[in-house]
Amino acid sequence: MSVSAGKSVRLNRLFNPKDGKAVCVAADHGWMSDPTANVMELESILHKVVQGGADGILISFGTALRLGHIIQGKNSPAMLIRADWMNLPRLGGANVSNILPVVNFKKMATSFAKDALLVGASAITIYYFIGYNDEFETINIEQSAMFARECRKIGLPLIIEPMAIGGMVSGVNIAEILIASARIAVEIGADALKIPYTGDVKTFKLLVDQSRVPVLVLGGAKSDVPRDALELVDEALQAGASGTVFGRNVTKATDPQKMVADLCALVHENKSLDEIFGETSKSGYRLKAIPENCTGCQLCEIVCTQFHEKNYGIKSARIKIHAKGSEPAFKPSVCTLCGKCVNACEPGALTIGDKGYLVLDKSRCNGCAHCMVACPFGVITMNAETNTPIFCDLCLGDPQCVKWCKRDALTLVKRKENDVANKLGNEN
Amino acid sequence: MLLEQRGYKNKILYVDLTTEKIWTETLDEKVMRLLLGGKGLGSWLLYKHMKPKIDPLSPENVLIFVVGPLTGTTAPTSSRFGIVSKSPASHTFLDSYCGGFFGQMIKYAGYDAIVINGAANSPKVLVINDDDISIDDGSEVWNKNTHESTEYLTSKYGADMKTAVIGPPGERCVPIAGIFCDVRTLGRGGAGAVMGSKKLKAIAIKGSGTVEITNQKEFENAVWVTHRMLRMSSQVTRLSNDGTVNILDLVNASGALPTRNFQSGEFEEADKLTSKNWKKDYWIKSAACFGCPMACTKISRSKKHGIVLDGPEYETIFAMGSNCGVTDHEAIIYANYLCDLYGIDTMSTGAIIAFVMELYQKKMISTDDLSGIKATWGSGDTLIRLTEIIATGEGIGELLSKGVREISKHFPGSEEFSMHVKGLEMPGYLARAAKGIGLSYAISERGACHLKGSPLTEILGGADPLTADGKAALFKSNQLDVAVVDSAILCYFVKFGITLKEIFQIINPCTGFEYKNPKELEEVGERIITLTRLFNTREGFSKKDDILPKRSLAEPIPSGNAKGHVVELDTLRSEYYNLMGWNDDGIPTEATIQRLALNDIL
Repeated sequence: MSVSAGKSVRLNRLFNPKDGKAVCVAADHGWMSDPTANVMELESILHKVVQGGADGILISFGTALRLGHIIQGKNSPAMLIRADWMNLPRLGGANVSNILPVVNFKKMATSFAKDALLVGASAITIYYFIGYNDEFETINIEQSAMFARECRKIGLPLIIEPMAIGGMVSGVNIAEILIASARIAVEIGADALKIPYTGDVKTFKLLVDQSRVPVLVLGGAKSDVPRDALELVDEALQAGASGTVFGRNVTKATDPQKMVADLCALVHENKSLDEIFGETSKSGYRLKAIPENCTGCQLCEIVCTQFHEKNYGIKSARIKIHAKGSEPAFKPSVCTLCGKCVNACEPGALTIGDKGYLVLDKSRCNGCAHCMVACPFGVITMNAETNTPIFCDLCLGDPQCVKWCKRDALTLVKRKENDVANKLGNEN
Repeated sequence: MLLEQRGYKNKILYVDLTTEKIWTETLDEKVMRLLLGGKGLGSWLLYKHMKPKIDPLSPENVLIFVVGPLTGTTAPTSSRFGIVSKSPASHTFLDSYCGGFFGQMIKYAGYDAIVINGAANSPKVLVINDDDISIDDGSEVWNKNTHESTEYLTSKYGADMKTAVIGPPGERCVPIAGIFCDVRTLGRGGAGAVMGSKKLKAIAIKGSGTVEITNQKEFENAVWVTHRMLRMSSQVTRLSNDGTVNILDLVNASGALPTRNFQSGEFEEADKLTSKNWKKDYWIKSAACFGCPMACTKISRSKKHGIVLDGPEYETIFAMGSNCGVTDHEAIIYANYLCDLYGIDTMSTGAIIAFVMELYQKKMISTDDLSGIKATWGSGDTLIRLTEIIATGEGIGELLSKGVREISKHFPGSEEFSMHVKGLEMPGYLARAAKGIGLSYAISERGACHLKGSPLTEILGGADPLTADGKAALFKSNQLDVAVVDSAILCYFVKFGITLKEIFQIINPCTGFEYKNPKELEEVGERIITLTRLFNTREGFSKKDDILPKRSLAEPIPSGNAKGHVVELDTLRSEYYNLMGWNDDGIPTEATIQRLALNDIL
């Protein structure tokens, strides 16, 4: 049986007809979140989400009654209604977000599909839990089928959200369980899926290929690093996903509107992450360390070595972390392009090139090591075999240490002209 | 491709302290594919090299330092290393793991394992500088505490040396003595005593080498994903923000927070011990081990005592806090500091003190017996005083430092509440309040331990902690996972953000072993667990030893979420043996040994 006209009309309202994709925002967290901004200030956040250009917004029935007017305009996002919920906050004061207390874990329907239709919904979303125990799985299938029957009758699309939960879900079976649950959800009658990323493109592609309905990847807990969340969407799109349903990563973002716009750029405009984050050109920048953010993990040293030496170690790292004092303070020593080495290089082999990082003309290098001696930060060493200096070249413009240090202990700052060959600052 | 280009150094360093002979041997590729490294390699070497039933404090015991294929790479938490030996505390297989900055140096110095045999006549320091190795005189540093010893080594051999030292309790071969690697510790099971019995005071190591792997591009992509998943995990974020103690409120809410020597699982003052209090008044900085994005270490400062230390961790806070009825933060910090300074395990020390306090409560021990110390519940001063005498061995401290099992022999009637399994004191999750965890304490190869596959997910909401149904399978699944983590070697905490699937995705491009799927890697874990079981079987352990204290089995919890519960051990244990392919007495069957291809390598 083909999809009914009603379902078809409503799915077209959700998925952009040009590319068949959708950027949705889940704002149904009032059910379980602590009363943080994403719950308390939902109204203003919803306005921002609309301005950001979201294709759909997932809200609870109660929120639809109170705030549904925000998404009733001609070009506003489609309304998705969360039609079930579970008794999540079981542990009272000790409740922790994203931890599902399975003792007495129950799921219940919270509104009928026809109620959702009455408040203007373009689809409903329900959970489908798998992996906990047989009885619970049975209830989930039964309830999902009930919603599917109802949705079919009234022409309302059904989005099923499979979730693999419980202690028996492990690395051995997680991908298989998610793939199977997607398939089961479709067989039950899902018109689209909202589902977690399996963690890699290969298995997620299998999931998408087997689903045969649009797959929307979800974002999970708020990520401290916005790029991490977008990277996950990027990979899901590569695997064939039809878009995303992002909740806390949008509603708890410092700028929800920008986050939605970035998602749209990724999903609808095929922009790359580097374009979105404005990281296409790093010319004219230098490293800057922020010691108070450093935890002393030395990951920067390993990735530096890996990039330059194609092996793993720290001896040839062009960056060094020093731990000091009994109340340890970690101090990254980085090349600041201060230019002392350049000045010390009598043959003129070491220069700051056009692209704004140190380059060595090996034919001119006499191995005198004056550059090493001149470096005030001790980040130049000598290669004993080639008798040439080992120095920071900003990874040819894409510094790996900055990329990997997500604690922002290492950053890039615009280099001032007078940084070079000038007095030594204390900024390092 | 050579193993040297596939995450290994293809070299085991052997040091015989009796003959002062030093030599190296290569790895066997077949063994490595079956056992991976780390715990797997260590247990195989121990099984091969050690005579059965020797005294763990005799020269015949073997102390093995191990790393894994991922050590020293960009894989998250790549500093981890382990020690494998026979435990002086439990006389079983012993493995213990440690972060910090020592492990990757073993690898960079060029070794997959360091095997220490024999015993010296006089104190020694083992100095490893790549392939330049010496056994130096250690008389000058003998009797020094861990801080003095570490300082001695770095001033004598260079500040860039990474160190592993024992304190005076290790020298006295006390079974709760650990090995201290700067601010990180191999705490449990008495590895420090093994080192002491060999008169090996310390190891200083520095490596200038590198690690090569099979497929760098694939590896880097997969490693990036593991880091991203750790960053995005809300459990890791909690760990990172609130330290290991972040779970204390959950454990208490589950009725599983050991209180007053494991009498109950609900501590009425638990709120005082939660993260927010430590954070507010004591934490000054987060720190990370080498290569770790999580940075769970919280450095505390006590103004009262004028000290700074890494910690206290959750296990110390339960052991010296709720389990002794103590909420005095300063006292807990100071007692932790003393343990680190002298070189003993905080968990066993806390459990010993809690046991003494219960003896005192039951009037089985008097103030006179305790050199004037009043061992009342909740006293911070008592906590500090008892820690001091346990650490120094002064007076009754000498007996106390031998652990709960030994102490209880002197107090008839105390066996019922002497809270240990196989001689190792119990960890911080009440067995009765989480049945799978209870089973894991009975089975764990080194005695009561929460790090050998205890399904802590029971407390974090992943399963109903109060039912025994399905718990044998749940424990088994966790146990095999952890065995792989301990062989790779990664930190236990990566499990909060990634699964065996992601580990599989980095192990293959690292080692080139081309395991077919995560399931095949899980089988490596099963092989390793069975191998350690065979070791313990050879030592005479079986079902009769896979037990829990009487309190866990027959004394219903008096209050809290798990009120009325005990551990139904018999059913759980039989079910588990069955799942593992071990016979009714807990001994791996011939069929199991063959299925896991262990007969090929033993």
